[in-house]
Amino acid sequence: MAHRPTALTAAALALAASTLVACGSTPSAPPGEPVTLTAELSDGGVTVPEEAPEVSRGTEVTLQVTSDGPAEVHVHGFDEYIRLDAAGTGEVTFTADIPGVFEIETHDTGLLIYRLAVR
Amino acid sequence: MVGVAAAVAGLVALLVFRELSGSRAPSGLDYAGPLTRELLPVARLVGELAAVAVVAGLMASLLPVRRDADGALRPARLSRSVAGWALVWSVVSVVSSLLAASEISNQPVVDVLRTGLLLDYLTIIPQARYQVLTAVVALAVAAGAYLAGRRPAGPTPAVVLLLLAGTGLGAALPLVTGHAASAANHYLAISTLMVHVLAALAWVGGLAGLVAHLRGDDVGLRVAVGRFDGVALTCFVVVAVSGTLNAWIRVPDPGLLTSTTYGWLLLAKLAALVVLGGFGAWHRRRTIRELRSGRSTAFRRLAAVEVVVMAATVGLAVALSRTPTP
Repeated sequence: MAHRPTALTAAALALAASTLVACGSTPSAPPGEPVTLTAELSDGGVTVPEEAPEVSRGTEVTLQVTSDGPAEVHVHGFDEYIRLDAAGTGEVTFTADIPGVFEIETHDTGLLIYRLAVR
Repeated sequence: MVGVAAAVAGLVALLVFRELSGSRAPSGLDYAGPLTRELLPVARLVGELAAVAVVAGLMASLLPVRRDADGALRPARLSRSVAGWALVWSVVSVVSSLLAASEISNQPVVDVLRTGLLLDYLTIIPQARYQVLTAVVALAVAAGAYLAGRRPAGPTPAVVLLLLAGTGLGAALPLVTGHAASAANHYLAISTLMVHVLAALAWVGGLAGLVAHLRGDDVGLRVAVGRFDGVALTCFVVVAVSGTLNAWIRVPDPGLLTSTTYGWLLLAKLAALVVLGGFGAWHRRRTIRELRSGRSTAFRRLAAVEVVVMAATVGLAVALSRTPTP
């Protein structure tokens, strides 16, 4: 007697779950190959080779920043920093494990370096 | 009455200064949408004012136990007010947390909720995480006040002090992130900001307690004012010094005070502080003396206006906290 309701509940749950999955972001590849983003800070400006690719959730992202002076770079959301006390190169690696569009910017000067889209 | 006027003043100040400062306009990227943009500052303001109401009830509980007109012992009644406001504070902090997750990840709140990764958002994004911690602390304060208030005589002073410490912790937690956390001299920026907010909380909360919880009790008000007078002056000095230090860290060049939005908002806050200092001086010169000779009207009126101006200053402070530093 309890079978039918249980089966129904299970079916409803499965349906709800699949709806949730479907309603989520567009299907994307499983955590892809690690991605490396590079940027150069010089003369108060920022140079990047290209826009950041959209990465799938769980991708390991490495950010590499070269600067001609002291700089602080902040990855919003994941709250990672690169701090350079003098000219040089700094690097930080993090896992992009929540979806969204996260700004990566310099702190003192507020220059936008990348918008990292995670799907 | 005064509470409603204060809430309205806080909201109007927030909206007006946000509009004037231009920080309402999305900065480049705004996929988070209007709900997040409009509601986040309001949620922050409501949270702060609820925390003030919690402190108001707690500080009034530290006064000698008296009976209200209906014969009830006051501290027990105050505990219910504290528990209620702490619950509001907790719920609003959860809302703030969700909105912060939406803002930082640049997607509407609905999308944040739909990913099924809510827990990840609330733990990974620092601005959301600290609001969740505040919500937990506020809930603990609510539970503590409710339980302590079931004692007929209300909570003991030790319990009240513990709850006050909890309220301070809850108010300080979100300050760990935000603009101060990324300032050049960030340890000093965070510590001066914490001292500033906690002193302001004690000052505004204490005065709001006098206004809200001692209506129709002139004898109680005289005792309370005698005790709070020194506290208020100390808080005023601490708020002024910590605020100045913090401003000096964020705005190193005085020229920026008039050439940037952040600077103008700072000057507006300074003006509010001067006005509040003027109120305090007037209390000391006139209204407290009148209160001692049995006339409480002048003190009550001025204190009510003071609370409303303070709430407006809190609104201004929220607008300031959402404005990028120069």
